[in-house]
Amino acid sequence: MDIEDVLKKVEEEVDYAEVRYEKTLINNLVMKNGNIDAVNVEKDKGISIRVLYDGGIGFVSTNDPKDINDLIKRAVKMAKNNKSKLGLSEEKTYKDRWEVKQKKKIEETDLEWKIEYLQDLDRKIMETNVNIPARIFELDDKLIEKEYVNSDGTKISAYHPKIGFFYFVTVVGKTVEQGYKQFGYSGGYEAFEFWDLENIAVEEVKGLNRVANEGKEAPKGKMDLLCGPEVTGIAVHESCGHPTEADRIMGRESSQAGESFIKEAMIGEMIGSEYVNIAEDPTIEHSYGYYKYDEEGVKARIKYLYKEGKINEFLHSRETAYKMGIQSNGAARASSYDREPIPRMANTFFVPGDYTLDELIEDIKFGIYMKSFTEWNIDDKRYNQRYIGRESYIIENGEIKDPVKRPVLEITTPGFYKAVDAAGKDLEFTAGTCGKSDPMQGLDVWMGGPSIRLRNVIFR
Amino acid sequence: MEKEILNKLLKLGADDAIVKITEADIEQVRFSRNRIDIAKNWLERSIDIFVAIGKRTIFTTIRDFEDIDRSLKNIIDFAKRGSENQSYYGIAKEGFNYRDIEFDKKIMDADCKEYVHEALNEIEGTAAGIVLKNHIKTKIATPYTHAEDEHTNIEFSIRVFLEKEVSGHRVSVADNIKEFDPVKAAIDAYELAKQYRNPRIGKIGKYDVIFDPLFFGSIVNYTMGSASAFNVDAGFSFFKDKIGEKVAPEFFTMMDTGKGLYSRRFDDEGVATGENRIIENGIYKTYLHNTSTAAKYKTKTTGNAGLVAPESWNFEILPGDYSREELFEDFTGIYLTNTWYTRFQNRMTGDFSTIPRDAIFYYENGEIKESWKDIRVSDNMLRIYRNIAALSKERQMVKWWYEVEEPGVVPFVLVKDVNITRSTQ
Repeated sequence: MDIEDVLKKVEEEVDYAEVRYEKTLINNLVMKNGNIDAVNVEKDKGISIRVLYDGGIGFVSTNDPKDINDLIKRAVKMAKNNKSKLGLSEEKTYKDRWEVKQKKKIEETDLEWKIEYLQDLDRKIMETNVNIPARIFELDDKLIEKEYVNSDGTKISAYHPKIGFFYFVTVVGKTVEQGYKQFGYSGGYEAFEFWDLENIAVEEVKGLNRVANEGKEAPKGKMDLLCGPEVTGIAVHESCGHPTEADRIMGRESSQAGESFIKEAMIGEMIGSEYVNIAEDPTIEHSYGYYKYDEEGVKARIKYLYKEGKINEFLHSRETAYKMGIQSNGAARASSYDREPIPRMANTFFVPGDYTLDELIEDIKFGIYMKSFTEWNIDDKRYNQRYIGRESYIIENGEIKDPVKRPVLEITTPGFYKAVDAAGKDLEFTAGTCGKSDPMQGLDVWMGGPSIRLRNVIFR
Repeated sequence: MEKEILNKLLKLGADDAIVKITEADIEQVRFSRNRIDIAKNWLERSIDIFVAIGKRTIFTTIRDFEDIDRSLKNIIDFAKRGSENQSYYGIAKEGFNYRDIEFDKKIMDADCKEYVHEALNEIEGTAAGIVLKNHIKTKIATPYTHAEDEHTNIEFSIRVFLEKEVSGHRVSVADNIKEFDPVKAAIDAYELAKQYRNPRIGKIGKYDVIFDPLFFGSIVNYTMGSASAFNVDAGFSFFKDKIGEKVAPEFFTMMDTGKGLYSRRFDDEGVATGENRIIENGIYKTYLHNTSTAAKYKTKTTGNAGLVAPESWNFEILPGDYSREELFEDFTGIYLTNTWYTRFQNRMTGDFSTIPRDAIFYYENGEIKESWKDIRVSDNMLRIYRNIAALSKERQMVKWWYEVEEPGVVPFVLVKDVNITRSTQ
């Protein structure tokens, strides 16, 4: 399937056209309670065409080459019917190829090795003698070949191997506690060492066991909070990354993932303390959200969404940048060739500060150390959020004390960020699957940050 | 083609195999701020294959049709190299009495963008939403059965804003064009937004709540996963060990059915779909099964085999005794019209929260006293079902984006003593 031929067929009939091709091989293993319940293989190959004509946009997709001529006609007709005064920002054109290098190649890693690894991991967490009656592991590896051309002259190809893993464990002690963690990496099976998966999984079940058997009732009222990197990561993803997506701000996600408390004119307004710096960077090598060019052929770069406590920059596609009269900052992503590119996060993180973990803890008189979270959510304007501790401890007079069960923080976005008074050096990332768009596009992301300290927040 | 692939797999050494071919023609129009953002069309074909060699099993989805024969050999080779799946007890050898489910061909000719214009003509303010129509053909072949299916459906979803934070959201979804009424959905969303004026931050506490069908549809959507036998074993279910127990009042019956917006004649083993009462007269009756989970639980498959684990298809709650008017008469509490972002802190206990969005009304003595915003339902799923106090006779078919991803037919539901929280600062 030569996508330049497809582009030639369509570009003469419209103001703008782009063609995206992807060939994907996914291997997936599901292990439940030590048994391999599913071995899945998924092979996909297809293209999509997006066209702009007189302000209308049409998008078509197929995985069968014989449909292409028919679909070109449909795309052009749909765009011509729409007449919506839409446009795409003018952008620099590129001709390039990028790929992610692997040390232990997915192509050369056999099924038996993967199964043995999962069985060994299961054995290791069971050897802790913690009661773990329900355990789910899921492992995915993906080999993605991509090609992109547009009628402006950009031509990009890419080879992107990726690994994803998650565990979900149920620990039974005096109470039942559940833990979940997702891991993601661009590259090969060196990912397992990069993640330090075995140690993290073992520590997870030990931590849950402490909460299940020794966890005290969580204190309520006003106190300090130390968020571990996992909690910092979910907070910046939910209440900084999402509200700065320009399509939400402009109402395009209104009836699905919602709008934003941030309006276009709010750039420069204070949202937090001066210690709050949050970045979004797709260019971090081997990150789960890595890309060199976005799905519209725009070169990726770091963005500072909140800077020194102020709203600083939005996440843009060419469509939203055109609406705001600026240029895209390369945030247009799509979960696959058959989905439209829209503004998305890739790797969002709280920029680390200067403090060691001990320094952050030492002048907390009374507070909670929320190392990880269980339930979380946020409203669709990204203002009212809730994080419940999974592994959490009391901090008293500068020392970590007893574990506590599920402390509940329910707080507004400015309430959270204005309370931040220090950030640690200990930057860590957690993987996630970010949901947005219609049809739903689940996207691979990292979210993270260091431990951060919040003063005088109210637990309920 | 499905039979041909099946025979090749059996010749290559498969002891059992399932081949399912799906063809889809899907159109969607998305709009926001009263204009069309994009029109989309997908033409998709896929082949889903399951192979068992002894207790070694593999699932494959092929959407790349280059050199299929090589792909089939690879699947067999892969199956031989895998470890034994101790949860596997074979595929269905009976249960193939398929019912006829009519589909409406007129949906295929529906003009999605025209529905948007017609709806927008009837309202003020700004609106966003989608029109989506699906035409799906499925064929399945196993050594024990062969069947075909075809269905269509159409969805309209609209969220109307009259000012910042003042919105109403409604849907119209149908498997036949006669029952599809996007204009009514648009007017209803607009009327909800009109009623929802000057919302103030709500108060924490325990309230009686009337859940709109769209909201309760989301609750059920997050409940049906707990009915899958796979999820019961995986620690994902708050229905574990609940078979035979009273989990809801006697007037409450909830089922999974193969007939609805997402009608299907057979499951992914080729077993005929039917109706499975999950909760009948308040008693928890059954998990949803495929052949393997049914064997473990010493029962029969319920016709809910998904590719890997049992799944639900369409849900339905039987109607109650109250008219909608009677339900609201003398009502003091909160009427919640829509929600999103439901998450669990513990899937086995059912502790969860969800965030009401769009119109939220606080009622006193049957009248709207205030419009509220910025609240959260922070409660427990088992307690919600246990505290159901009344159901309306009127029911609506609902399906909306990810929050009511699985469609269903739902009444208005009155629940006592629902815990409401909000941000502290």
